[in-house]
Amino acid sequence: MKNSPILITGATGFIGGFLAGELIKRGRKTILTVRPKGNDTARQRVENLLKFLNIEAKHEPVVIPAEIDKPGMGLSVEHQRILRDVPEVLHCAADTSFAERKKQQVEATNLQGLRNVFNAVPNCERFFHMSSAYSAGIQEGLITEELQYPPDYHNPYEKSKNEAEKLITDLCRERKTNLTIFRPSITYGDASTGKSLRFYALYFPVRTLLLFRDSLKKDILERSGNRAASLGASINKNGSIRLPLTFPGSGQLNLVPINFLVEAVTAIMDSGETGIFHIVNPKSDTVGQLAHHIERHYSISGLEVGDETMQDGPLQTLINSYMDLYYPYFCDKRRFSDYRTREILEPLGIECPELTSAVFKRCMDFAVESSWGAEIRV
Amino acid sequence: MSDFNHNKQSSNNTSEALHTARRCRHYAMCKIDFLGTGVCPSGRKNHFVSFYPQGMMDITAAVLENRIPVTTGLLEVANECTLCGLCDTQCHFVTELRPFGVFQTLKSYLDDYLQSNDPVEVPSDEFLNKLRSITGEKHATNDPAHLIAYANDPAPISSETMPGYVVVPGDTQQVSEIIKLCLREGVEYTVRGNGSSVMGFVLGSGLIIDTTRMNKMEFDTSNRAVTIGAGISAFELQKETAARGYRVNAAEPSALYCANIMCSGIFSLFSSSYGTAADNLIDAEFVSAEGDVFALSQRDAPNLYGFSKNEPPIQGICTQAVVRLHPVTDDESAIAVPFSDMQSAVGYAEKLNRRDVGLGIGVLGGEYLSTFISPTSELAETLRNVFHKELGIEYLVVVLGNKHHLEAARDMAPVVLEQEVMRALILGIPSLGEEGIIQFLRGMEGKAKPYEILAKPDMLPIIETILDPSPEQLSDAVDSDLKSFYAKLYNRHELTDMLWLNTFRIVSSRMGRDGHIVAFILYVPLDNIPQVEEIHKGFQEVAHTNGVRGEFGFLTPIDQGAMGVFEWDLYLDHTNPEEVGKMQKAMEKTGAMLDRFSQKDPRVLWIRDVFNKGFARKEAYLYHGASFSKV
Repeated sequence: MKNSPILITGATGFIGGFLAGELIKRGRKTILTVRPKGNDTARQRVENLLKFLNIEAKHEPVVIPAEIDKPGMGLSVEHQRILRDVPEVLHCAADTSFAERKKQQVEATNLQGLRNVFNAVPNCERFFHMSSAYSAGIQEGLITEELQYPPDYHNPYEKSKNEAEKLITDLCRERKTNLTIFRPSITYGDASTGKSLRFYALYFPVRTLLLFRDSLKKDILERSGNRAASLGASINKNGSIRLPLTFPGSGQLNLVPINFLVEAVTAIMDSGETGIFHIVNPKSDTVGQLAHHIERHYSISGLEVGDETMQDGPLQTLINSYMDLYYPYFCDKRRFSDYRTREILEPLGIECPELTSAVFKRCMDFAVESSWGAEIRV
Repeated sequence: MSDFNHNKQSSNNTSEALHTARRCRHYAMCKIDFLGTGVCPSGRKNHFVSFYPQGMMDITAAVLENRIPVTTGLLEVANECTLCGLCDTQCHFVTELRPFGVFQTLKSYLDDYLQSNDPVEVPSDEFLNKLRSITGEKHATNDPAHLIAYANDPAPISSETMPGYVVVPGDTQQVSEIIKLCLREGVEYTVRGNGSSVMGFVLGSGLIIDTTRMNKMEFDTSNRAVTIGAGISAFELQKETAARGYRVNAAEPSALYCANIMCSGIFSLFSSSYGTAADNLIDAEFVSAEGDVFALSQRDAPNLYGFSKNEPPIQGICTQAVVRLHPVTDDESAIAVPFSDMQSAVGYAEKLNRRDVGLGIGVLGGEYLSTFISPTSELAETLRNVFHKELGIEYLVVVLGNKHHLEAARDMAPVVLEQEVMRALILGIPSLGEEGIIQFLRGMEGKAKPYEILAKPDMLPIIETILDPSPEQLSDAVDSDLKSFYAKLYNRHELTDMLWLNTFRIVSSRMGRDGHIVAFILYVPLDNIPQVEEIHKGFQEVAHTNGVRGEFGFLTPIDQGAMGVFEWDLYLDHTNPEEVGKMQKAMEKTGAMLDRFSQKDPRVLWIRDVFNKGFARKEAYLYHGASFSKV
């Protein structure tokens, strides 16, 4: 099957982009469905992706402009014909918004979009579906590599991903298509290069703190410093900014770098195994470790961790609002069994790298240098 | 012509000038001192619209297109323009148009023309002589240069209609004599203020009577009243009233107050407490269709307070009115309450008004508000995106009131954007468009909408820190030669003060910045908010199917929440025939749609049915179903 093409959806997204890059680098024939964006055509976006990843394609990918949440994915007749005979699909396209008011849009992409993709490939023999570890919803404790039936969800994204797993399971069962589901945890950039295509999740609190660091420093050094004073911020002798903030400290967060995810997913694809696989880090991190990395590398001090020593004030209110949203991920009470994944990865010597201080800095430096993605045109 | 103070090197070329001149919206903001910078000295001195920038734009377009000859009147207009540049900042503030270059081009064109030609002297005639004998020589004209300034209107239902004469009477007696003259001579007349002409109603081929010189304004604070002549604009009146510690119920600043009452009754956000139509009227003086003078307070005066939907309005010219002054207290301010859906926003406004909370209440569309508070079209687009996409704000209920009103309004609001937060947002609009800020806002959104977080009581220092709002930041967005002007302007507190902005309404004319506006105003009962939403969706459908841009404007609850004044706007480039055609169809469909709603619920009343009946008691038409006459 390796000489036959694989359709990759969401190929200019974060996970889909890196996976598409890896498969193209390996010489796989690929068909990429891509949404045109702004003035960039689908093809231009793929060219930008390959350039960003420094990949020269042995087989030029076939690029098909598509919008998966539209009926028939908005495909031309010719493109419909191309997809009809595709034997393998790696479905990575997804809407990752947590916002309640974007629920319909999230459902349209993650559920109807999935159905549209499946319908477009009637002769598909293997379907690889990118889900999320957080499709487990509000459950606590050990989450197994099986379909999950949680009583509720933290946000519409989690719900849509859970429902999508069930949908694709039913669809594949009916059509007798082999199905493999990947459930990664929070994904960040490449641990060895720092590269990333998206800067959400782990990046957001860092970005927010750096935004405040720079704004407050400007206020103190170039203006009266009143705003900084009203927020309880000050400047230290070494020029770092003291932001008196407390982050909730209990629980852990599960982070995987994109390079590990790519290795793990491709290894599982190569194994021919079907079923559900958690792509997670066996060693979870803590908010305290992240706060330490931020203080160490980004001239910020005053960050504390603890559930009972919360600061008052506007900055804390803001961080609390943010943490309300991300608490389930940053103070996670779920543990993800990755028994099935390890069975494949361990013999191959594939391990999830740690988020060391150096890796953290590498990834965040890349984010800062690329203006948090503004200078990445993919 | 050596007295033309122009600089040919910096002149716009003819096509640019023509393009700009044609796009004048006729909003008449160049006739009032709304920025505190002064008013076109030529217009103030000479009265005819032709001497104001608005008229000169029409004249320039007409002369460059050879629609009018170069007359002595035209030369006088051009000579009187000192190229002081006041109009450039005023017009840019509203529309982003720059008339200065247009007038440079006009002067340059005339300069060249006069090298080998003489201006045309338009002879007087018997009727004009008679007019002049009433008003004085310089206040009546038949010169095409002056006439053309009264011949056009950006309304899509109008076409150029050149009047025969224009006269600017100075008082009621002169108006009376002019009407009698017209009756004797069989000359049709049309009355208009020197204000805007944007709805196609004040064009005529006979005589135009321009009331601009009737600028009497006498305050009687012991009776909380002010007497105003027909030439007084809403802005001038509000300014003088405010200086005396009072407020009037006034609408568009450039509209002439008497004409505005006559047209439809005045509604503003303050109508929530001050009412509309005859509510603010103490007395009014008219010249009848026969030329006789009467006051509404006379026992034998025509009953303009009554209302009949199907009968034409009583003919007459309002020459002066006595209107109520409302007290102002030193604890007044404003808040804005954001909502993501119309039902909740209108429901909140109704709830406030039912309880008499607030001096003024308005549900504003996020897009409408973005346009108002942004000094450029580009910034308005930025703000629109941020409000809609990132903050989830679809509607803002603006509440104006004293501290007791505002405390009650806060109590009833889900979340509140305080005046200082709004100031920071206005002065920080450019920062709001930055990717970093957008991502910051986006990252906060979950179950709570981002605006709910921003509206938390202690968020102001955060907002100020990340936006770094300042007049300088805001002024960076305008043309480089206007930056210092805008920075100075926005250093003035009132330019970001919601109460002041709603009292003087100087930014609402910006809604025409991206194109001319056709406003549909109706009264809707507020005991049926789903019907309001249905009407809103009906407008959206009409706009969409006819390929016309349209937006919800505002809704103001009145009469203790019984009714709402509802505005929905359609936009067009009035210089584009294709868009005019689409708009005409859309207007037709809208009319049919509104008729359907009125048939279903007779309390839904389109303002068309109140047109020129603005002196009627609002009770006569809002609750006519309960009256003896059942009109």
